[in-house]
Amino acid sequence: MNKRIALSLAALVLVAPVLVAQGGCKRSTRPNASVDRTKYLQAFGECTHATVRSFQGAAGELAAATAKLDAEPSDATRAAARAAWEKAIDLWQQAEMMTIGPAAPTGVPGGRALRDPIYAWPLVNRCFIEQNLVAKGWEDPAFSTNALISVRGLAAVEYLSYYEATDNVCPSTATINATGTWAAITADDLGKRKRAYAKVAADDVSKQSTALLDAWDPAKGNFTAMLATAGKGSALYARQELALNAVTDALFYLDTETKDLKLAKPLGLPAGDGGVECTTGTCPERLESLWAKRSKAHLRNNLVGFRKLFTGCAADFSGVGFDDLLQELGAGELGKRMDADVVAAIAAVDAVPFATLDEALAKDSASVRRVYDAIKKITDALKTEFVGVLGLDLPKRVEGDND
Amino acid sequence: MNRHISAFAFVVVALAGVGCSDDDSSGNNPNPSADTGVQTDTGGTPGDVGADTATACLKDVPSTYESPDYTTNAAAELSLRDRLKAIMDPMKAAEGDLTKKPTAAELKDLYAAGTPSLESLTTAYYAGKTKAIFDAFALAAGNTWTPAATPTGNGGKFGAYLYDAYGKDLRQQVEKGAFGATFYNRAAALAADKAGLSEAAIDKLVALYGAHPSFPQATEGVPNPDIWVAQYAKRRDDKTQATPGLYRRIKTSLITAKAAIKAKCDAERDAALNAFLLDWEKVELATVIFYLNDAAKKIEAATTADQQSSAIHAIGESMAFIHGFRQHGAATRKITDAQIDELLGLIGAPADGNATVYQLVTDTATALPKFKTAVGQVTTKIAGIYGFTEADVASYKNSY
Repeated sequence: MNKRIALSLAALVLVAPVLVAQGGCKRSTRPNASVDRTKYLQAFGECTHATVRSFQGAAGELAAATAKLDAEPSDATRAAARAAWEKAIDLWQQAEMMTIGPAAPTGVPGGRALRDPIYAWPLVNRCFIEQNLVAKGWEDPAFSTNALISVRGLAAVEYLSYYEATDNVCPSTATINATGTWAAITADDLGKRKRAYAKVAADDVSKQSTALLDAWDPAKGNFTAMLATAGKGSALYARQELALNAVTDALFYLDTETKDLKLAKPLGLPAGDGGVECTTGTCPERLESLWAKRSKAHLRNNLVGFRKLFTGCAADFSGVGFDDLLQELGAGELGKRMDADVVAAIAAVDAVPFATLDEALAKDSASVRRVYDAIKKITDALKTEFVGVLGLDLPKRVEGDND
Repeated sequence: MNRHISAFAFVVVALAGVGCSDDDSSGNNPNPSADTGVQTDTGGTPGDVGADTATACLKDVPSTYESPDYTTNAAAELSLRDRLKAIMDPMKAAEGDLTKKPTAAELKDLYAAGTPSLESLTTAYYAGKTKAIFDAFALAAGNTWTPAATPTGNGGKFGAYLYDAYGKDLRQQVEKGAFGATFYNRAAALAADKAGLSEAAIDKLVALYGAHPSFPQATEGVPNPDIWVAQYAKRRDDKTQATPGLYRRIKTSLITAKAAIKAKCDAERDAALNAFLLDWEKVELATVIFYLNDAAKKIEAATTADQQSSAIHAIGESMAFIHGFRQHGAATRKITDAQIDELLGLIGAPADGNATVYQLVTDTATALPKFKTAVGQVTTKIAGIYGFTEADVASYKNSY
């Protein structure tokens, strides 16, 4: 009874000075709250829109190339399909840094989860794709709405376009092996099925990319305006900080996916969750691009996408970026240092002395470790000084990680 | 009086927050009282005061559940909790160690032990199901099992759990099924016995539910953690939110029922008990929403037998949460047998047939999309039965 009164009064005594010290409002003490972020949000929106537009064009080319391969299988059409996939994935790896609004998960403002049907990595399951090859799942008219995201998108197209062997990775107890349905497919038929499946999957990627582009198109969804008008009438973002936080959350892909999943796990290092799953030195099977062997290019393109938002979206990285905002907030040195770190990380990728990360892991894992270290330098600053200066919150997926 | 002071403290803090609405318009302040220490008093959770339940007859509802004689009053019900654990222990041991093989007779003896026994308090329908599960469990124990395209044999251990040959998690059918078929059944009977309703009877309900008079809303780090259904109520109630969720509502209902009995306010007593039983049922079906959605995600991401097992284990829990309410005599039960059969059918676990859960492992690419569709349908149907809002459903997909 008395304890209750004491606690209640204590609550009043404790909270009052805090409120007074904060001028009554916790966030009003955040640095340079008065700096208008509109032009930055506009720039981030335009950059994302431009990147998605480029990707959508490439996705259309991929759909056409896989259709041609299906109709006229030859070495030339196969090479063309693979080239189209590489062009598309290179652009998408840049867009991975920009999962803002419609590409983001449904739980966030404006989120429509349009990213996953395009590229759900690390949710990719070769066994499920192989089950679909037996079941001809791509022939289902509802494929693009019902099929698992782990059996479609760019990752599925990669497997179907690059993996030519006739084995499967499903266990012997899986239906396709236990009932002999996989074994009954001839090599020729399997190739035919892979081409047909790739055509449908690529066509789906193209359609999904159009949906994403439409969401950004000023004449349609106009998500750029949603960002740019944050705190000034945006239906989604009541304050500019919320919109800015959505953009920085996307940048943290560099930490949680690029650094932790694409590098730490194959290198056998502790990832953000503190776990080390690799017990054999290095684990190339944890690399991102298992069939096209493009993991190295993916790292580079992630960094390019990051730099587009951080420094500027033009081809030479000129234009408005986070470094300008940091400058305006009195932290120009931080912006310059982080940009230099990004340039250094790209150089570290380029310095890996092998064409593929598989080979590099086997012959010179130190060169891959140097890429990891260079990226960690960026993400360490991202998690501390960067969000501190901007007065933003860490994404939930990063909070509590123990780098 | 004391409650009013606490409420005043909370209101002052809340108003201070309102003054900053421009800074937190997202409304996402995760714990409005965290800075004040108000929540250190288990009875003072914001929004969880008894004042809302006061009526012309019931003028004063305390904010805490006080019962010095709880252990004595609820001795029989606490014993029931222990006896369910006594059945679970050898079953869990068998899941952990293939050399541990409890016989069906041993498990049935434990089920029939005590006065009253768990068996005697279980619906006749589910008592029969439970004993059949004991038979199946004894056959599966000691074996390893891998889901096969054509199920044969007695099943066995797959990952961390024991299954029948069709992927039904056997222990879960006993434990989670008992929540509805035994414990809810007993609670409903006590609540329906108007002549026998005393303050001590409410202590029995607290025990059957799995809580303690301190209502810790915690399953670890406290002297009397929540167990059984209370544990799941805790998981379905985000205590950082000011609006009370299922756990806090149940607590308020039990406090109100006890106060109403003391004040001889029968209408308020009955309303509180009905609310308690309905929320209990909601806890179980809301947990089905959680587990099924979780299972769908886990299956898609699974790359190891342990991960696959964890996913189909979650489906096994869901089956039992639903199935325990089948052929229930309690007048308070909201879900009907027809609805139960529909839900069980949708998730591939018909009440009187073999499950098809194994297909999620053996033929995932084909079975999982269908399962996901079914999960969506089940979620919608449960929401319809209980009037869950979209926000409720979104919340129930989390574990707190």
